[in-house]
Amino acid sequence: MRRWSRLYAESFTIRLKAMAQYRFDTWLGLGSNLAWRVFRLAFIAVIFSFVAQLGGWSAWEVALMWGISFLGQDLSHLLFAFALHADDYFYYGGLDYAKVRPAPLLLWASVELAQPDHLLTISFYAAVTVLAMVNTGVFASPLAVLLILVALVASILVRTGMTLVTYCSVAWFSRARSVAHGISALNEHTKYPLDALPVPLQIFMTALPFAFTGFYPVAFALRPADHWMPGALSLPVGVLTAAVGFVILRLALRKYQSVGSVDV
Amino acid sequence: MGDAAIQVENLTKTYRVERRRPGRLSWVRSLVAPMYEEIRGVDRLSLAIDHGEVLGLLGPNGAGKSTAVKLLTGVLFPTEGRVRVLGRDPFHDRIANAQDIGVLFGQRSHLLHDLPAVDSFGLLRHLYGTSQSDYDARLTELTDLPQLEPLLNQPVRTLSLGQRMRCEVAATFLHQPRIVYLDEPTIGLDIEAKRRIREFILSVSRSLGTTVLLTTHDLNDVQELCERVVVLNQGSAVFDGLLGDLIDLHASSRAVEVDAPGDVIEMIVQDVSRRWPEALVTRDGSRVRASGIGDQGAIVDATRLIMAHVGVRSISVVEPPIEDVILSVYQHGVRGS
Amino acid sequence: MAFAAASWRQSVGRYSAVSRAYVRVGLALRFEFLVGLGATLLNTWILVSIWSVIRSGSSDVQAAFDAPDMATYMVVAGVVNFARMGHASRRVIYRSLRQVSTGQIAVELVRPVNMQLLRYAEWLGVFLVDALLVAVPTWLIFRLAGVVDDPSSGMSVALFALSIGLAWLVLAGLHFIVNAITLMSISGSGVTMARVAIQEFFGGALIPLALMPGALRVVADLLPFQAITSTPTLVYMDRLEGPELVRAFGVQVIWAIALFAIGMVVWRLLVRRVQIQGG
Repeated sequence: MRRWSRLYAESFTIRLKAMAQYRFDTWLGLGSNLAWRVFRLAFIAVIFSFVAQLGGWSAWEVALMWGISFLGQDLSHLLFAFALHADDYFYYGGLDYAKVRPAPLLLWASVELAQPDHLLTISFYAAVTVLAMVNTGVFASPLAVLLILVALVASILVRTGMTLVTYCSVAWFSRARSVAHGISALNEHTKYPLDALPVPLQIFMTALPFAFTGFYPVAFALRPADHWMPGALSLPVGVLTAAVGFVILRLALRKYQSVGSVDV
Repeated sequence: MGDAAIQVENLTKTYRVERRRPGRLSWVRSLVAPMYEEIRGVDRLSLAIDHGEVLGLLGPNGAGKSTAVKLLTGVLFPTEGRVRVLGRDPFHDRIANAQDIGVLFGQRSHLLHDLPAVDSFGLLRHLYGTSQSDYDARLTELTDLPQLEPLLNQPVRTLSLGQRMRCEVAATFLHQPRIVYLDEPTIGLDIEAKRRIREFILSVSRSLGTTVLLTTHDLNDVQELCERVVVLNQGSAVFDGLLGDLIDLHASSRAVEVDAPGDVIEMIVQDVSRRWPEALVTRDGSRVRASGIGDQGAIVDATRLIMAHVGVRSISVVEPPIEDVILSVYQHGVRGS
Repeated sequence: MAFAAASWRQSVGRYSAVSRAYVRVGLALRFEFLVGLGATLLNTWILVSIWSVIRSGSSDVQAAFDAPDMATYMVVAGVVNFARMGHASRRVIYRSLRQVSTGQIAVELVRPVNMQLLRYAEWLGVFLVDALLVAVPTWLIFRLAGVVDDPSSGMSVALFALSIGLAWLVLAGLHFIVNAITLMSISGSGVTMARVAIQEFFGGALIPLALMPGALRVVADLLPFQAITSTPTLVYMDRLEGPELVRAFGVQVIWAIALFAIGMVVWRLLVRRVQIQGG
């Protein structure tokens, strides 16, 4: 654990040094990464300028679902950055070096890739989440606070597992990256409460399982009685998704051919 | 047997490569039933490398050299066969194995592009758990070597390929690995840069006493760095032995060159042609060159015969260009001892 | 004069050959486009559903759109939501501009063509494939499901086609500039995400501009994005008539020209930068 925090710290320092060399780039990157998140949030605000509730959920409740879902995503991208770039590693043979290092591959490659700019977006999602927790009265109940933390853990696990599965599939199926891009295009719709969607879409978002990154676990924390069933399952689903992702990674490593000549 | 640093038995790696079907709507079929072709990257390779040995793995492009290195380093999962590196299976025992080895992939980089190499070194130090004092000692040793120190503090992107490669080599040796794999370390370099990187590799590996496996398609790398070579062709070893033996085996392509006055030359040409009718004898003024005489013994006999003539000004045995040797190994598939 | 006409014809031939080649490139990536079709269908379906829920709870929205109109708007806007271009077309666009950073551009620069027009020609090819394999099927499926209304007349169809053409010019101009900026930096994905989010937000793909709250509406009107998505959608629905229609087309034309001009300047700066870096 100490070794890993040192490695992350070292990697971060190095990245920051590199960022300092490209100031235009750094500001552009930070600015645009924050900007698109702000506009996604702004859309929620516009929706709630017309209605007080969406599918029975208030603006702050929806903001909390959104916050947990994407805080989980960005934490996953920070801590397990490799998952998001696994396809590049498989495609361009970058695994060669990662695999001759004396460390678990997922962790080391993630250290190598860790981007300090995620800290900014993570703070943004965290701020939204905490603000939403205040406004939905979560802090009044220790149990609710605990359930929100559980929701966050579930979110990180589901996100990491999903990312590993989609991006490691390139080991078998070189076109998996376009499927991954197709799926990630739906990612932002995670913000709508499932109750506002027609049943086929509900099933789709549950199966994928985007709904477990925000809606189910947060709904469970806010109104345990209404949504206990899928809500209580969020953490097990998270553990399962992450485990599946890890197994796929292991199998993909076995399948890895390390050729730079795959058609790009 | 059992205490070789690297032990490889019957190692095979096959790839499946998807092939597009010909024809118009073939892509529909390819979605359902893709067509594959099997390619053998490495084919029943067996070899053993001793501690402290510097072995050259030689072969043309696509011979399976890099695949072999990746199988030995645990990057790839073998289709068949067995690898033991310091007694471990490098794929299943990947992390423990990785701690003891250093790898350089000539076509990739383990340095961060935008920063001086020392920054990358620092991160690698933490990764390998090298203590600060060991690291400092190693770095001093490395920077004592010629041509390295001034490069370490420049951003890597400002270095030439040859300079960057010296830093890459240094990074490979930094944690004092027991075994180092250098996969095409001279690829893409010009002659001068190649010479420098060879010198550098030689001095580092000597001063640290490291076991080295070097792959290359450049024969000069092997000649300058290795005593023993394995020649790979289409994934199989077609020769495994000392570089000198490789050349000896093909001594028939050695030539004897003599310089003598004209009348003496006449007699030499006649004698040699009579005794070795298959030999190719060419004359150019006062010089004569005879090749295709035969094995080592025949060459010795020939030099004796020639020296028996009074008036010979000089005589020398010319080694064949190594390219020719390799070529004939490929063609005849001769296996060394 | 005759010379000018001949060379003009020659240029058109040259660039249209490029477009045709890129239609083939696009068709070679049809699997990626099919994935794009799936994503566009789901994306559009979700937005249609959400706006139907919002509409049922808001009298403001009800006043602006009846139920079939609301659905038609979201479907057509989803189809002409060029912010969310398919993975395949994005890949082609990105690759073509990445040549700058890889130095491959040197090979291109010695060719007797205008680089900006060359890019436009390439993107036109992929765009046509995008329209053929993603946009039209999406529309058709919602049409068969009875979600989207037909255009009211042949005239509407013609005007819609015209506005799509102009929207494409604005879009190509925008791509050229944004990608050029991206290429000068290493934070490509963030910039792309930001462009998609801003373009969708202010373009009318997520929120009909008529429903945009006051200040945001003003900002949206000042930006080029509405010329890409909102204008064609409103033309399709016959929501623009007379002077409003002329004005909307005028705005599209102005943006197409302005972005082309800005692109030209950005390109000059970029080339100079490439030369300074010396490959």
